[in-house]
This record gives sequence, C-alpha cells and structure tokens, in this order.
Amino acid sequence: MSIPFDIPSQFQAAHFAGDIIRSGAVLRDSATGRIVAHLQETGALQKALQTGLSFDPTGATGLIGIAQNAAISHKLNAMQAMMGTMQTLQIATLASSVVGIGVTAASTAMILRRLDQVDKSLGGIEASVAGLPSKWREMNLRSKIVTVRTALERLQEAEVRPDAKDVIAAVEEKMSYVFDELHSGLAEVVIEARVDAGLVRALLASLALCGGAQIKSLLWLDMKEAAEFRARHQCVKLQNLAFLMPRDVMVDRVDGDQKTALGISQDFSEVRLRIASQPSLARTLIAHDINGREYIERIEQEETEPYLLLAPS
Amino acid sequence: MQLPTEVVQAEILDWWEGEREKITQILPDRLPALFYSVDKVIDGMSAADFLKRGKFIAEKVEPLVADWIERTYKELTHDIDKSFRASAEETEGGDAYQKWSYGEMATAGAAIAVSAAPVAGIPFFAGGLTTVGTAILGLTLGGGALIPAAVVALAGSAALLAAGPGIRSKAISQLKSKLKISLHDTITTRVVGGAVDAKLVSLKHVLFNELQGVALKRMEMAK
Repeated sequence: MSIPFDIPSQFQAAHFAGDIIRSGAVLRDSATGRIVAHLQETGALQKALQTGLSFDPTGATGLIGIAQNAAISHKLNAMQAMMGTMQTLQIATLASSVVGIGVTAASTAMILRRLDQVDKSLGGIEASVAGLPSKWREMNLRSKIVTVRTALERLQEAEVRPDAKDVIAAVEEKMSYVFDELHSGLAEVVIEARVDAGLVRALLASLALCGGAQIKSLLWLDMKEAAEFRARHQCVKLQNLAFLMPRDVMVDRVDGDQKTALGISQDFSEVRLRIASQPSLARTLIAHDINGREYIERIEQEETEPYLLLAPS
Repeated sequence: MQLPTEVVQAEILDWWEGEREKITQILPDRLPALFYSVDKVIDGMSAADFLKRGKFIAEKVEPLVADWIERTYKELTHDIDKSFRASAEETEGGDAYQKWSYGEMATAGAAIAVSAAPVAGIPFFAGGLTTVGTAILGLTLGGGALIPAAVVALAGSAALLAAGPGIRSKAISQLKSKLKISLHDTITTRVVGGAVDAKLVSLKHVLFNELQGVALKRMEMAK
C-alpha cells in the first residue's frame, strides 16, 4: 500500500512563524498542541552519514560533518534551520545521535555503526578510568552492549534469511531483557557519588539503541500494539531514571562540570522525548492500517528525502 | 491539548529538571545577604550576651533566619507556580489545573512520591521531623539547630568576664568570628542541605520535594 508521507519543507514556513514546534520525533501545533506529523529519518540520511558525516556517539565533542552529497546536504541544512532554533540539538547531532528520529535509526547498519562507536568509546573509558563504579564490573555492562550489537547483527542478517520472522522475534526478546539490565546498571551507576560522564553517555546511548531496536523489531513483525505497549514501558523506565539524575545532581557527580552535566541532561532529554513519541507513532500506524514491515522498508528505501513526515490519524 | 501522554510526561520532566536547577542556583546566591544580616546582629553582641548566648541566638538570630527562610520559600514558590502555569498551558493546555493550587498539587503529589520513594530516592516525605522551627507544608526546617552549633563554637567563653578589658575585647572579637563561621555553616545546611546529614531537612529539600510532588501529580493527571 502507499504510505501517506509528507516532506518536511512543507512545514518550514509554519515553523518559522512559530506555529509548529518539535518535541522529540513529533511536530506539533504550538497553539493547540495537536500533533501535526511524526518525523522519520530515512535511508537517504543513512547514505549521507555513511559518505560524509563524522559523528561522536558520546556527544563529548558534538558532531561536525559535511554531507558530500550536495542534494542531501542542502536538505539537511534546511532541516537544521527548521529544528535548530527550537531545541538545543542541531540537525547534525540529531542525525548522528544514537537514537534515531522516528522508528529508531533508518537502518540496522546505521545502528550498528553507532553502536560500534559506543563500544569503542567504552573500551577507552575502561582503559582510562581507574575507579570505575563497582556496579560496572559486577553487572558486566559492557558485555550487555556486546549482546546488543550481536542481536542487531542478527537483525540485519534476518532480512536475507528465510526464517526472518523467527530471528527477529528472538532478537526482540533478547533486547527486552538487555534493555532492563542496562537500565538497572545505569540506575546504579548514576547514583554513585562520582560518575564518569563518558560512561554515563555511552550507557544512555546503548539503552536508547536497545530500546529503539526493540520497537523497530516489533514493527517489522507488524506487532504494532506490542510496539506501543513496549514503548510505553520504556518511557516509564526512562522517567524513573530521570528522577535519579537531574542536572543539578549530575553537576556534583561529574566534579562540578556544569557544561558536561548540561550535555548529559540534554542528551537524555532528547532520548526521552524521542522514545515518548513512539507509542503515538504505533497508534498512527494502527489507525492508518499501515503494515509495520512495509513502513520500515519504505523509509529505508527512501533515497531523496533525509526525513519524511507521517500525519497522525 | 492533544499531545500524547508520553510526550506530555517527557516535557513535564524537562520542566521539573529546569526548576530544580533554578532552585539550586538561586539559594546559594542569596545566602550572602542573610549572612550579612546575621553578622550585624553578632557584631552587636556584648560580653554578657555571650554568657547567655543560647538565649541571644534564639531571640535575635533564629527569628531573623526563620523569617528569611519563610520569605525566600514564599518567593520561590510563587515563581515556581508561575513557571508551572506557563509550562502547563504550553504542554497540557490552559485549563488543565484551573482548580488546583501549587500547594494542592504538591500535597497530592507527595503521596505519589512516598510510593515512588525507592526509585526517586527522596527520604523527606516519609520522615518524622520533631524539631521546632518554621513549618512549611507540614515540614519543619530544622528549627533550633543554630543554638547547639553556637554553644559548641563558644565553649569556654564563661571565663571572659574574669579577664581584663584588652584581653576581653580581643577574645570577644575572636569569639564573634568563630560564632559567625559556625552560624554560616549551620544556616547553609538549613538552606541548601548538607552532605553530613542528608536527612536534615533544608529549604532546598522542601522546595525540591514540593516540585517533585507537582511533577508527579502532573504526570499522573496526564494519563
């Protein structure tokens, strides 16, 4: 079936007039609060990232990159103008962030690339931080991240296997456990009197990737109701985590480094908002009777627009 | 407003975090003004006052501090209430909390906070506080805490009257300095909390608890 996508440029004028604002992966009418569209990154963005944009998954340096593809670059710049003024994160960061806009990142390959970067960062942190929290060692959190990566590789492979559904279902189940383990681990790490900012960011990134991949798997399986339920479960987990690591507390825990604490807070806020958009997306797909697998394949195959919009029901 | 519940809740968390940060920044900024007032009172202490220092502090310093805390509490609560109304209008819609005052929201949210305490890590709602002092929404802000601190700081001052005028003057000056330092520390703990006794309720903790109560109630009402 044809999926009723819109393109972001349609909303640019309304945004500049202040009529439309972005909250995570939704655009909303500033007057009524009504959702105008779900924002979704696409395969075209993936290509732009693979060919031209560098990225730092820990967010420590921020992302600066230039898309080599001129057409995509132009559209990314337009999107940056649209989004950059209302949120702290710029489009380049949005594009490269570990948690994608919409149904996770546009493709498993992009997620894997992002997760590889997270794992490399963690390797560096493990080597350089002498006093890692005891919980880090006890819970073996890095191995959980390796599990996420393995699961994602199987997710990628599933697309060319005849037993794809079985593989994706198994991956989704595994991700569900790992998400809760990463959440528990992160909850233990952030309440330590002193925390390593890179470690917290890497764990947040892994949690976001794991959560996003779960939703993508469920949608691929066309289990949209389950995707909605799971996304709501993830929202509750992230809310609980938020109460443990408010910005003012994190300042003390990262040795008074206000800038770093603000960076972690902004990253986490963005992750919360994007995951908070997922239940609504699942409901929209249900209302439009859009097959989840078709939706994912369509956005992955998009070659022109880096972002697409899906109107709510 | 027709924003999805989960997005509303995420926006409320952002608001909560921003207000916490404001409280964290504002309170220490205002302390020097209170210290200045307290120091002026201490500068006016006579040798006889040092002999009855507990009474002096209770009568002259404590009311000053309590009044400052109460005024600051009211002012900040008023500001947070305004911020809450603005945030609610943007996120949940203008009429969502018409019938609710900030205090009512905080009280209603306190019940949620108690049940969520293991996660939220906030010990204050469930704590039984028995000291006498400024009562705000049923919580007591460590009243009387200034007196023991001052007594400890001035141990041995009874020998003052036996000393000669020059020595006495110098000794009193030193005692005043010590007393000021001690009072500053104690006041700081009462206003922004202390690392030593995390259970001691400070103005900041009261504001944080109410803020969290309001945030939790908003999140619950968004469902």
